[in-house]
Amino acid sequence: MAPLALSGVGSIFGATRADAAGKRKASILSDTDILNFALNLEYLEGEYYTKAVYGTGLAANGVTVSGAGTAGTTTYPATAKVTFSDPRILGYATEIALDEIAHIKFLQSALGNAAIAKPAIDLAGAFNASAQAAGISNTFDPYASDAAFLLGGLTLTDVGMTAYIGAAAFINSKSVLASAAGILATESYHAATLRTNLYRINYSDSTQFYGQALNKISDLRDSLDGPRDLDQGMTNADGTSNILVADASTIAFPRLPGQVLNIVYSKIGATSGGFFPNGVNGGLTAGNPNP
Amino acid sequence: MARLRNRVSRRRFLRQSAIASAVAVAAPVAGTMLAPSTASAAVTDLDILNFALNLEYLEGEFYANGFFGRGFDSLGIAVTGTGNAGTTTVKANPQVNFTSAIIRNYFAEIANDEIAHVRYLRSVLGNNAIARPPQDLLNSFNTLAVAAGLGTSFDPYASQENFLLGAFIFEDVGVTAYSGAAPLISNPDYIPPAAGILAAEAIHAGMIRQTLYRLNYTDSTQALALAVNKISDLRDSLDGTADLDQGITAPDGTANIVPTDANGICFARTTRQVLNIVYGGVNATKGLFFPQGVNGNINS
Repeated sequence: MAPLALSGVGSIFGATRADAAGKRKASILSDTDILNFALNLEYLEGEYYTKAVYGTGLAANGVTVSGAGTAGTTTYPATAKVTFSDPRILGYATEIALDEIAHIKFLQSALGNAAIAKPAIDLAGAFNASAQAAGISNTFDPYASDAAFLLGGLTLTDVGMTAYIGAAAFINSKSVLASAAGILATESYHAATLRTNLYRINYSDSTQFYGQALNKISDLRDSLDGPRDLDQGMTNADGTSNILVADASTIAFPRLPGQVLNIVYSKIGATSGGFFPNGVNGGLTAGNPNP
Repeated sequence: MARLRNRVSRRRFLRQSAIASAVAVAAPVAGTMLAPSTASAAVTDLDILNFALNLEYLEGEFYANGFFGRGFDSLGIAVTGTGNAGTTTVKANPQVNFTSAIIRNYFAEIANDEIAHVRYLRSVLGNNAIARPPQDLLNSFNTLAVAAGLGTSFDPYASQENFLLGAFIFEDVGVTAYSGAAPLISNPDYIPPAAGILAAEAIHAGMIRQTLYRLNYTDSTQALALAVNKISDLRDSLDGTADLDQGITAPDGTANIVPTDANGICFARTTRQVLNIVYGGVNATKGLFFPQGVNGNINS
């Protein structure tokens, strides 16, 4: 069968994952490395959402955080937990927190003895630094308000979504791919929930503060993940919504692990920093110096 | 709706016990989804993309008629290709009267996205693309209303709320369809765009479910949540014995925006399960939204 015309994929990845007959080449990444890479991000999101909702983090809520690699503590935002003014948003946050905890437990179970420990995570200094780097403000406490919580959540969940899209092609096992597809769907539902709520809050704000803040976070991520300008804010110039981040094809875009790590480390080519002050655990730990 | 309450209560219990205990959730890597059927060896990537194109034609026409007030033919969107070419049956003057500017903006986005998905899949498939099959967006909803216990008829274009319910019928199904198709893809270069479309449909589904939840929240009659539950139960009755589809609220009224299992994973459907739903009958070969069946090799 002649290969179907599929533009753009090769340029996204720099090299095809298929051989001349359109069959899968042996993956350069192991499923263990991919799942552990994902587990780092789930630990990060899990800490963020759990602390926001319950005022305590993963370990205090019965989640195992030990495992392979270097275990580390989590530094939380200045506000102990979010005092949600909108009970609906508290409900969404609770649902998301429970989903992330479930993801962690699922990945740990799938990885068995190979599951990594939670590395050191910084949810305080990293948000301040990101806000500075993005040109938003000198400090940013994501637990200070409903809107701040949504913006902080999107800083992480937008990236998680693209990470799963990017990792999918490298997964060797069909059943692992099936699970990854299901987790990707969940992360996407989360992203939509966060973005629609922040869009609504911003809609009637004459200063458009959060709309502009997300634009700046988006630009910051674009500055770290390579020459493509794919990340987007949640509003168009005319105020209409942009809940789905995609180009004209309206296909959500992938990020490779090296690109994701540049973002979460807040520096191109870094091996630690930002949200992971001692780096992530597992086999995929380095940001791409030439993303 | 005892079955509904039990299902959602069980899921809520599983979530809470996940918090309270350190017992690892039993998680076979295959998850709770059905394994790809043994017939998958005969299914090509071309077949999978064309199967998806049938669904995108359907969603695209649904949203275009509601948002723009006219369908693909009037908008000049190409629908030619292989198989049984047909038109879309829809009521006259379908344009929805939106009472919320924000909700209108969401549907502007979704309508344009689905048109773009049709164009994207057609560009990938080239001469292999199927034509739009005959589609019914009129009688189908009335039939569905009776089957679901919503009433004797249902016009998804009658109001903003009805349009949201109509969208709800499709979007979750689209997510499960793409999720089920992902492991069947042979050429790994097609996985990133497939994953990207899966994510896009899940974004849409999240927009719809969240908006329905928000509108329902202040309604003491819980009308939208109850309608959603009926549609969800109908889908469950068509796609097999597993009780996987979920409404937007738990019994205590808290949000259930994401239809996940105990692992936080959204479930998948096989092509046969998806066809059961869009044909409106178990093991049917046509019906409901596709009165003469879908086009392409995956049609039954």
